Amino acid sequence: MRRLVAIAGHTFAVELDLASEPPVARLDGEPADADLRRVDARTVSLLVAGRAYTFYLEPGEAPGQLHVGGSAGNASASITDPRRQRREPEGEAGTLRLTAPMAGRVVRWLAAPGDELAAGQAVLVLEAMKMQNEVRSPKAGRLSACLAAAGEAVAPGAALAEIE
Amino acid sequence: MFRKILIANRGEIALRLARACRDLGIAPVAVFSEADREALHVLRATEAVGIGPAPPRESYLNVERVIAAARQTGAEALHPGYGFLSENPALPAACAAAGIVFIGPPAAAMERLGSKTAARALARSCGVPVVPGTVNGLKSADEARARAAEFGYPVMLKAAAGGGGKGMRLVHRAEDLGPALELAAAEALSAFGDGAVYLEKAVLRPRHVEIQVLADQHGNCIHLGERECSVQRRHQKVIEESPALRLPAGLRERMGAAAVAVCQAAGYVNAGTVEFLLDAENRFYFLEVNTRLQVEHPVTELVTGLDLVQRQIAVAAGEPLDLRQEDVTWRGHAIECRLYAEDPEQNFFPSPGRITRLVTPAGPGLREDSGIYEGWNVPLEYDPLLSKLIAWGEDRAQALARMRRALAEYHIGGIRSNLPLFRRILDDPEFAAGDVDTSYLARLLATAPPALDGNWLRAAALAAAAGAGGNGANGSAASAGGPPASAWRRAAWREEILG
Repeated sequence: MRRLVAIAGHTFAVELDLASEPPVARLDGEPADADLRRVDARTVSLLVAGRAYTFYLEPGEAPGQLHVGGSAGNASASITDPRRQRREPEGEAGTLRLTAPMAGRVVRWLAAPGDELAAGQAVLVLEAMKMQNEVRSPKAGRLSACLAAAGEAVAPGAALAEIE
Repeated sequence: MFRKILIANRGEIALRLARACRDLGIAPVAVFSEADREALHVLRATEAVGIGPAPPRESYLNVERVIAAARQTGAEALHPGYGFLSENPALPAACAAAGIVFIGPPAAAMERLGSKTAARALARSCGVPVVPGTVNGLKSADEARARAAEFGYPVMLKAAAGGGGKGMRLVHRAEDLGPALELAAAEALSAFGDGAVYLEKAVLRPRHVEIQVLADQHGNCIHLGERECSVQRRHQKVIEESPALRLPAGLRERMGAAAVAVCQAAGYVNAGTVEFLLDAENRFYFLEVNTRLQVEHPVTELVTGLDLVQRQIAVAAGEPLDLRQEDVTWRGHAIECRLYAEDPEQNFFPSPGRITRLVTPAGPGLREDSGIYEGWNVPLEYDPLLSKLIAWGEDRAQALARMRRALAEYHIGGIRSNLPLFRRILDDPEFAAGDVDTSYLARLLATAPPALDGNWLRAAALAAAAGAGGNGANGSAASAGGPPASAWRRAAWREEILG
């Protein structure tokens, strides 16, 4: 089994054949010297050259994504099969969708459609778990659409605004 | 002594209060909203009463329903915990009317100290220094700008009725004052039902040091030393320690005496906390009094060896303090981390949802006050505090080492938490050196987080590939949505990994 694993800004080519005798684990073409065990449904123990690692795995937000957590850190991993790689469909050129980082309620808009936004400028106020938070534009551009009304409850990931 | 106490709160503090009751042979009664039917404080209860729908105003903030629950169960006393109704004088008043003992200060003392502006005036009259600021709530942005010009920027906006960082804003420039005032007032209104906001001169790079006070009904009032709460984000405490860092000789006694003076002047009874700002020259300024048990009370418990909740209950039952000031001794060092369901990578947005995995630490010098369990759905409606991890050591270095070890053992899966932030702080040389003021965390967060260890990353990549299993990139192992049990098919895994 070959997989490309993108994690924390690095991409590793992983080759695993744990059914063979002895098991094969290669990382970027090099033997990984890894004793890999699945302890339970979501726990992987690894002994790599004598160093012990325990990883807690959780399904990620999208297919092919996993959260990997352990004593030294947490990271999201994207796992792809190199045989089935395909290009991500590209969005409309230059249009960015501002999405709700979590479930909450739109308190009010701080900008109106047509406004020019600076990078980092607050666009709206979202209330969640008793705190009011400003949602900011990640880039400079023009606010082309407000997609949720003030007072409206929004689900995590819901589109709030379009910025061109 | 009481036979039964109603606990008018939820989450970790409801569990902590119930434990103190049980230790005293008192039966605790839990209350819960519809969103909390499966919360840990209900699952661990021996008696539990539903008090209404999920919105706090219809349940935990509803005085009538809380009092009705106490009456219905025959509770003789009521403990409010922190947050919710704990600082609302209507609750002790309603308790008195219903013949229920309120475990906290009398309504009059709560009122006298509950308004920050009134409390500052009282402190001034006791000769305790305060930071220059407005005495009354601001009436307009124009008034705010005029007063800010008088004190000099930067200034701090604060909710008159508030606490916990809600309704607070630091403002550096006159042009930012209007919008900041609006946000602070809206936040204050939604959090406390009172939009009044006042303004004071900001003391830059101050430390937040607070004194724990304990007063009985017979005129005895002592302090239990200080807590350093300078590690804050948006004025919300993140880490608390006792003793405070680099505290010069005699300062604990002077701050303690000031705190006791303010509480006595207010006619205060029960446990309370007097908050101070400490400037770079170790001058202290009175901030406010929290007329309730604090979130961070365990650090004081660990260094004094006293159970604050048990003392609160004894005081409420009319017992005199069996402790004089000179009997209070401090031993070692304690530190607390507040674990929140919030995502440090997403600007600390709350992250409610199902906890699919929970691995908790243990070992010497460790206490966990938790309100969560694996499989529980963290509700959206309430403060996202999950659990408090408290470590004790003979000295600060040992306490920090134990906390570092505990954080490495801890794992929360399914939701995001601020656990990675605590690991980062505890690994930071500046923090370990004790070089901390209230701007410390903002400065740390402005720097890039340290890169993950390369060996760890390579091992994590192997684990992730194994985790994705033989079902391909879009296979069941890594698919979203479904419950983990079906997402992780044991048989397929066994074939994949063990052959």
